[in-house]
Amino acid sequence: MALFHSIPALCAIILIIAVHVVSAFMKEKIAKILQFVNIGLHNALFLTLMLSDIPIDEAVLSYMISVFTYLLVGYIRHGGGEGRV
Amino acid sequence: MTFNSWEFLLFYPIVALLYFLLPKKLKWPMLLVASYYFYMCYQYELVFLIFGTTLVSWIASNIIHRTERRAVKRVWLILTLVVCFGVLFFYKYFNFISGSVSGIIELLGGAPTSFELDLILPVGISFYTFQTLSYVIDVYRGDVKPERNFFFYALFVSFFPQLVAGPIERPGNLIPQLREPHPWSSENAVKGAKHMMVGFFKKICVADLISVYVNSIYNNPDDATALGVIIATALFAVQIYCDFSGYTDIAIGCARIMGIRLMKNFDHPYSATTVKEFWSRWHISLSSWFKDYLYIPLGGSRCSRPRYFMNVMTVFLVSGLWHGANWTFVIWGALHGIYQILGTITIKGRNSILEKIGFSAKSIPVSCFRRVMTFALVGFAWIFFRANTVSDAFMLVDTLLSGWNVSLADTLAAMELDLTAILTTTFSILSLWMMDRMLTYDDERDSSAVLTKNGSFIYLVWIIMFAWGLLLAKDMSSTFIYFQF
Repeated sequence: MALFHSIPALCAIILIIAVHVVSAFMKEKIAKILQFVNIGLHNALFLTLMLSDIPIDEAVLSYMISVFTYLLVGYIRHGGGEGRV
Repeated sequence: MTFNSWEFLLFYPIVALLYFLLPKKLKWPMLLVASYYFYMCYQYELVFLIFGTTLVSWIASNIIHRTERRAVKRVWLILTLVVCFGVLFFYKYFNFISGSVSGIIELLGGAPTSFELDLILPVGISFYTFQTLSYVIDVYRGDVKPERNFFFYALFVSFFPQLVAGPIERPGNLIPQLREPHPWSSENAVKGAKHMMVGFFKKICVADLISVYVNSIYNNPDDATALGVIIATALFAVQIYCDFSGYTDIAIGCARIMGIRLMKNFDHPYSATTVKEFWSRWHISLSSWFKDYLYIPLGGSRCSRPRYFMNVMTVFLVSGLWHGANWTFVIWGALHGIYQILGTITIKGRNSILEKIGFSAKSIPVSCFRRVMTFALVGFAWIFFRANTVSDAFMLVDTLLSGWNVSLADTLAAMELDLTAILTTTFSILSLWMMDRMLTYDDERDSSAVLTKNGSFIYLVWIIMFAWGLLLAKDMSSTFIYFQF
């Protein structure tokens, strides 16, 4: 998979995930700033991927990993919700 | 104009903005115009059908309400049922019935005949017909008073968020809300936007993504393997849920932003522990419609056992046929009817077995086992729902039983499921699961709060804009599955 052979892309994904985790435990103001930073990182990452040789399907994968991490961190942080499932 | 289109991205904000800017008297007329415009973007040539259905049902409901004579009420009710169902049958089932009759004649040795008409299936006809009929029946029963203003009633029938694919609304829920002018509320706006965003994610990032792998098996059943059928069917179960509930979430979100609360249509259906429970969680508006207007009038469960089983089977056969003019849907409905009947017959035996082996029916292992079994049964029925023809469906079932001579690696390669695709699908489904849970709960203390706290709302807006980018990049401007019903 070309994505995981690209050092810059891997570093960006790891950084995005790290920012997600950190922002979940910060106070609201700092967390908001970190989320905006993350948006910038995402845009930079995807722009890089789109302009590189990495297939678009792998760009989609990195997006899904990011969404999943964001939701998982929030889900765990806020107790997973209540009620019937 | 589908929800996942640039036209809708332009249309909806304009409508919502007008709704909040216009004075009270002009809100609902604007919604009526917008709803008919929305419908005409699909099929301007068939707008007379929805108008005609609206007119007939409005006239009938007013006559039914005004007359004191029971016999006259009944005549007008029957007339409305005949007209509305007649239109539905003609456009949806004429070619199916003529094709089936022709097939039977050929089977009996007769000369092949073909009497098919070149008919366009009106978009949303199954939905607005049922919604209209629930109104007339409720007026007949005295549960609601008829609407005197024809144009206001037309808005109830054509309200654009739920017009094309539900939820099938009840007059008691929707009409008072349409009449009430709703001021801007940031709470409604945020909750409505949450629903819309999750709906778009379900449709664009999950359903459309995995449809490719489902189609690789179901559009080429000759080349399928047993593992391929299992994988494709499991993915189709996710696809149809995301496609349909995604549409519903967008519809609920659109209405919620304007302060109107549509009924819930899905409630985590794949967490059901029985098929009966599945139907209390899947397409709730349709199953409750059949319960109130078909199952209970037939006698429901308050009759002899054979009659009860016949009622159950009747409802599911009709439900199958409602979904489409194809024997695959009838078989799908029949399977669900059989599941329910067998479930009822065997419930005591199953519970006594559990008692003997020392397990409680509500224990986690039993619950998990039942969820898996229910998913397997529902999944098996989905084969018939998704297959293009009956022979394709039986070919796939036969492959399921005998096509085990191909390895998993070869199956995945044939379906073009490489590592990237598997990981993307896995992460998207896991994300979907968490988003769905978050949508369910409105309590401020639970995890839905994460969607608005800590800058997350902005992040979600960004996510969905990126999803639109994916839409352009991958050319995924597809229709919703339930539009064909």
